Amino acid sequence: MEWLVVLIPTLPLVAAIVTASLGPRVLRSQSHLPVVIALALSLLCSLVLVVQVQRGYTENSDTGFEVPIQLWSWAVIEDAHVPEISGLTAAGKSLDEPITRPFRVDITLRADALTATMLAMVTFISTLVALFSVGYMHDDRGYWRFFTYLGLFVFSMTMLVSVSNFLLLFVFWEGVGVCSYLLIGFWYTRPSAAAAGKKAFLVNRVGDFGLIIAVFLIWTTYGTVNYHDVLHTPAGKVVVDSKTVQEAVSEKAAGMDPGSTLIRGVLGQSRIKTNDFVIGPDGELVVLAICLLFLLGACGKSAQFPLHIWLPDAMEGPTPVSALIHAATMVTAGVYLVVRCTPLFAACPTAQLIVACVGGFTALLAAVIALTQFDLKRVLAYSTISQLGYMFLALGTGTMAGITAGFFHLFTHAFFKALLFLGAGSVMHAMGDVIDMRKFGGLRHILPKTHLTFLCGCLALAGIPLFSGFWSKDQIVKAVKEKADQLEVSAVTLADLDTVASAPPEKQVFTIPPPWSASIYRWLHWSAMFTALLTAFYTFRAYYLTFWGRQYVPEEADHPHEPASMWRPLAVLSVCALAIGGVLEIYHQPAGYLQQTPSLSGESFIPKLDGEVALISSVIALAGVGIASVLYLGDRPFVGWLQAFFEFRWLSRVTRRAVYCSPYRLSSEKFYLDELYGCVVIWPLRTLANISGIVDRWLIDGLVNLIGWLPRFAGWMVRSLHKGLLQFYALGMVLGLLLLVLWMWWIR
Amino acid sequence: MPVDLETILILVPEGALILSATALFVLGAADRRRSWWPVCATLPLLFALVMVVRDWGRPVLYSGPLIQDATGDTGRLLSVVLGLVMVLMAWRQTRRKLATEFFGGLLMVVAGLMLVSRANDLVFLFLGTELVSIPTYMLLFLGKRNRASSEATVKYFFLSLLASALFLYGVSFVYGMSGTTLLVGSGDLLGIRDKLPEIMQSQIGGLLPLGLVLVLAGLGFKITAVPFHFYAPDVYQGTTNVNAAFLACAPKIAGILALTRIVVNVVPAEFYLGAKLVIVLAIVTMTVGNVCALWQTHVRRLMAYSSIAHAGYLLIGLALGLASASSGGLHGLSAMLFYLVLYVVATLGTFGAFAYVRSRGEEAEHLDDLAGLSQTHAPIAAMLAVCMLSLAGIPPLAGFWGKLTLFSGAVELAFDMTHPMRGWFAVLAVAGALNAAIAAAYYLRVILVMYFKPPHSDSPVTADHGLQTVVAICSVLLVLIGADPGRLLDAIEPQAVRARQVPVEPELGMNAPDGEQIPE
Amino acid sequence: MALLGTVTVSHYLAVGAVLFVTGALCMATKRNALGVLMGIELVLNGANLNFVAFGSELLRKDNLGLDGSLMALFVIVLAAGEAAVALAIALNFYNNHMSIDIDQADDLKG
Repeated sequence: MEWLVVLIPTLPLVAAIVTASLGPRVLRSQSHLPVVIALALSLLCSLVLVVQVQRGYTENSDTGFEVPIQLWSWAVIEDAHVPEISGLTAAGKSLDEPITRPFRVDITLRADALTATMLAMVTFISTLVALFSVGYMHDDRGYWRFFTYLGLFVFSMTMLVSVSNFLLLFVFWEGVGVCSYLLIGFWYTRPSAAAAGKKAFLVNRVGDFGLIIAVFLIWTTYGTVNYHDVLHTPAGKVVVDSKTVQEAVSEKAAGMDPGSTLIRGVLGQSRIKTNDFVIGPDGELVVLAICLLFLLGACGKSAQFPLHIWLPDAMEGPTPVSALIHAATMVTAGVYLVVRCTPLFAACPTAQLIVACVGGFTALLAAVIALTQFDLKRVLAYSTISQLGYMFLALGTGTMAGITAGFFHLFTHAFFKALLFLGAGSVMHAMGDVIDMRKFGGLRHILPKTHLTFLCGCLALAGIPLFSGFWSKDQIVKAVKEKADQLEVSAVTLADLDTVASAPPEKQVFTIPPPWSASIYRWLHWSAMFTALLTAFYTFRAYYLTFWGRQYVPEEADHPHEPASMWRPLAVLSVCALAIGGVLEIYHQPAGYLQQTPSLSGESFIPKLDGEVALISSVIALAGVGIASVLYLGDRPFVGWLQAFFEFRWLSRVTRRAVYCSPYRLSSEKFYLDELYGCVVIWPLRTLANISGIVDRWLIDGLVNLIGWLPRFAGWMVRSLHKGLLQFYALGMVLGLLLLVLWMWWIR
Repeated sequence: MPVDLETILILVPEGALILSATALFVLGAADRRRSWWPVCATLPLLFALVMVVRDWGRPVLYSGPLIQDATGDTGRLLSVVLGLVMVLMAWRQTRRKLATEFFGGLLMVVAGLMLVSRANDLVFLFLGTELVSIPTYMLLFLGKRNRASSEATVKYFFLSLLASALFLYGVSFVYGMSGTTLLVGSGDLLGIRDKLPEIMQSQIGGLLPLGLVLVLAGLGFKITAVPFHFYAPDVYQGTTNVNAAFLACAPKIAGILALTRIVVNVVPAEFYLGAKLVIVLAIVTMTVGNVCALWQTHVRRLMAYSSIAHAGYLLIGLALGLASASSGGLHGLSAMLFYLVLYVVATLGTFGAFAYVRSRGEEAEHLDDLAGLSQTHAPIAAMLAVCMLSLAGIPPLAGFWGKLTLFSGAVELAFDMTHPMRGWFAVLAVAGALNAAIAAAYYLRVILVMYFKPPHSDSPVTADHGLQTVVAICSVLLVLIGADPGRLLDAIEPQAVRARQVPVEPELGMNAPDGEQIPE
Repeated sequence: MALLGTVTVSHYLAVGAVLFVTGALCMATKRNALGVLMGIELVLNGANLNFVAFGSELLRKDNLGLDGSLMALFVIVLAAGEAAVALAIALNFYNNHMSIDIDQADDLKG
């Protein structure tokens, strides 16, 4: 198993290096070979890993199953940890935990259910996208460059999900960010692509800033940045194997002294057992800060409000990139992070509520914006943001049902969203890189295979019953509803007991009272259902606009075609989009499998289909599709009228300005968020930069030039002493000597 | 003072060099075939090298006017190696008819340097410095015979003579005050330092500092300290590149070794008056050198001012040695010797590269002659750049460590709360750092010209493998020492420590039969 | 003799100093190369006078011995040798400048 985990990221890295070195000269149009082969092998390894993790769990199922794999030590700073900062308490320690300890960053990977699932999903989608790209990118000048970046991205992403250390997580978090930047700006000669790359990178910096501060806080709070427990034996060896560590802990508990010291990982089994996440007097505040900073990082990477603005612009990159990075894999890193840190969030209900609010609000906002976009890829981009919002909403419930639902949705969404993006790519390829839905229509006869597969993706995304999106979205809605119910019950109980007065005072500061949070979750539940309606509507609006109606194509499309290398991955993905949700749901796999992860093994439950919720969801989804069909399927008689209505045209006699704040305009102009950021953030910064520039150029440079001018002036003065006259030189020597002697006489 | 066989024997390498030089002068008149003579000059140098290496690290031995100690060992080795490198540089650069005179003179100078490095008597020291000076006049004269060359020779000759006279005048006072010219005494023979307390008490004792200042002036000329530096720019400019390399190294080695000898063996420990004097000299010297170099466009003149600035840096070490008798002073002296080695290596490499480049059939004279060297002769340009960066003290290279050890010594004393001169050293450290920054400007300008100016249509080079080898060796050495400076510093540091231990008892029985044995 | 009896080493030193200063001034003012050389000889002789004076019995009776006189001899030999070199150099200078006025040698400066 160890070598599998190592092999999965290594293969794409090697392929990237090979492509980079051989691509431009040797491989040329065959540059895809190393990467495609490596990705296929990685996929194979990941699937084997999934099975092996299951088998390992079956053998040892009491506490969950994890295998940390320590490769080498990256950095060690001896005696780095200071006890005052950590506030380590003696409570809950089973082995003597050293107060002063080295700051060590080991290159450690891990194998557990969460990682294995992510790896399988990432490698599967990447393999298909790489195959699709062979057709899509075949004439591009940067063919080898594309596959190099792709290999590099898969390396970073697989490492991101398999490292067992927060600092390394940050490293590869940045790694995927860099690859994303490179791929968005892949056609760097286009100004819009370069600007989009820059925007994505800068917006992500805001989130990364939060993430690295969170890692600092973790180090000062827990004294380690590892996920897993580390045992230092008296012989100086470092043991990470969880079984050995647990044995040592139980030996100690039984009174034997093995002489080892234990450093409990942040998400290690020892800590989870004792639930020791709140440390020190301000522990709750610290955990809240860590969680919120993690959320900030996740918002950046997963494009949640208010940092979601980069994702639509990122569609400037090649479409396979949009499918892989900006729909299926990289943007789910934030979700992965929150799932990974579930125990931390569980220790802080306020943070969970905030996660849910951010998710629910983003889902609604993005869905509203998606209603009026005409750029097919942008519709899909906002849809991605919206679906990621769903995932955060689910994670925000904090219940095991919610977390598994969120992760389940991540999984199914990856397939159908990749499918939709690749379908959009196929359309774009055929239409000569035109993606505005007003410029083409009725493509179902021109691109029949794309049409069918795209339809599968739409059905899944819209949440039509029995397709994969339905199952996961249904679970999310159900989890939110259950959470609200549960809180209402407990609120009633608490009110009866009048515990608010007797609760410890510091708890009141950071905890929102249950009645409030119950109503918030209730609102989120309604909002989620409304968003589902919008989702079904905009999905099918895009579908009808593209494939139905009068058939016409733009001038740029010289020979619309669907090469086999492009439609075959689509076919595979559409099978997944149709079936994978249902298959997993029937076997209750996602929840059960995920719970094999130690950090997710808290409460055991088996998700059940709630008939009422499922029925309502189905009705909502079908209603959305129905509205879309009425509006867009035939001759579209109502569309113009509706648009005029929502644009407040009927108010234009009163005031023309009303149009600008009409619902339609708000949606199509993305609620003017870009403009708002431009005014509030970018303009002041740019002004400040200009002022600093002027100060630097005139004041500082002037001073520096003056300083630089002084030695030259001095040189010019002294230089004139060297007249070239021997007599003068002799005189100079003697006079200099005389001065020295006199001065010496004077100071003695 | 009887001189026995042992004294003669430890003079074997110097004697061999002088005899070979004489033989070259005489035989050269008979046969002027060029290819032979460099070999004839190399052989005695190699012999001397073997002898010096054999004698390396032998116990401190007092032998009348001679002393065998660590400073002597270092100086002798440096001198012989300098001689070998100069032979290699001059192999094909001297004129056929004058080869014997050139190489003979070179051997004489090397012998003189070796004598200076182990002189234990002011008379001997004087003779040694003159043995360096007089052949140097000849070498300058031999380089080329044009207007500039003759002007340079005249200036160097008269000013050097004046400096010798100043030195002598100073020595006369020292002699008068102490009644001996012996630096280190042994047994019942007292050296200058032994008599110092008595002198300072006496009526005319005040003349001793005057004598020391005069001696400092004479040696200051050798190391081009301001205000005795005037000759350097004119003379370097007027002579050939090979001669300039020689002038930049040989007198500086002689001066620094003699100063080290005097500081270690003559002046009293913690001689604050001298330290103040040297600090002022150091600051003035490095500043004048650097600010004047900013204006230069002639390569040798530029390097002359650079050489003056480096003399200023070297004086920092001397000031440290004078101001502190404890480890700080020893650190300063060893840092000075370390810096001297680095300076010599970088300077030889630089002038070697200048000699290698030809412009319109002439030697490289102006900075513009180096334009585009990176395109026409990339290796030599890169090696010259290494030398320049090392002289400028850019971090990964050897020169950086040299400056670091010197400046850190000054900073250490500046932060030593008990030291009475900490203010002086603080000023010195700041001045040194500022000067290093100024210096970077003109060194980098040379690199700028080489790398960013378009080349002239014709910039052929001499197909001189000797020069190529020298430049390559120097630049590689700079990189290697830069990578591992501790090794060289460790080799020099204990030498300085050893030098402090004044020998009392002659091991090879001299006049004093009994005395304390200093364990080595 | 009475006058001689009052002559101390200080008087010799004073004469030496006068020689020194005269020599230095001579160097600084003479245009002719030989004049400059003579100036240097004066400075050297100033030093020489010091050596002889310090080595004499005037300063102290005990132990100065012959060191001073020996040094003076060395200096005289040196001066002779340097005069020879000086002639050669002056000749060379004359070849290039058609004069031995060394204030003509100011091509190199700055």
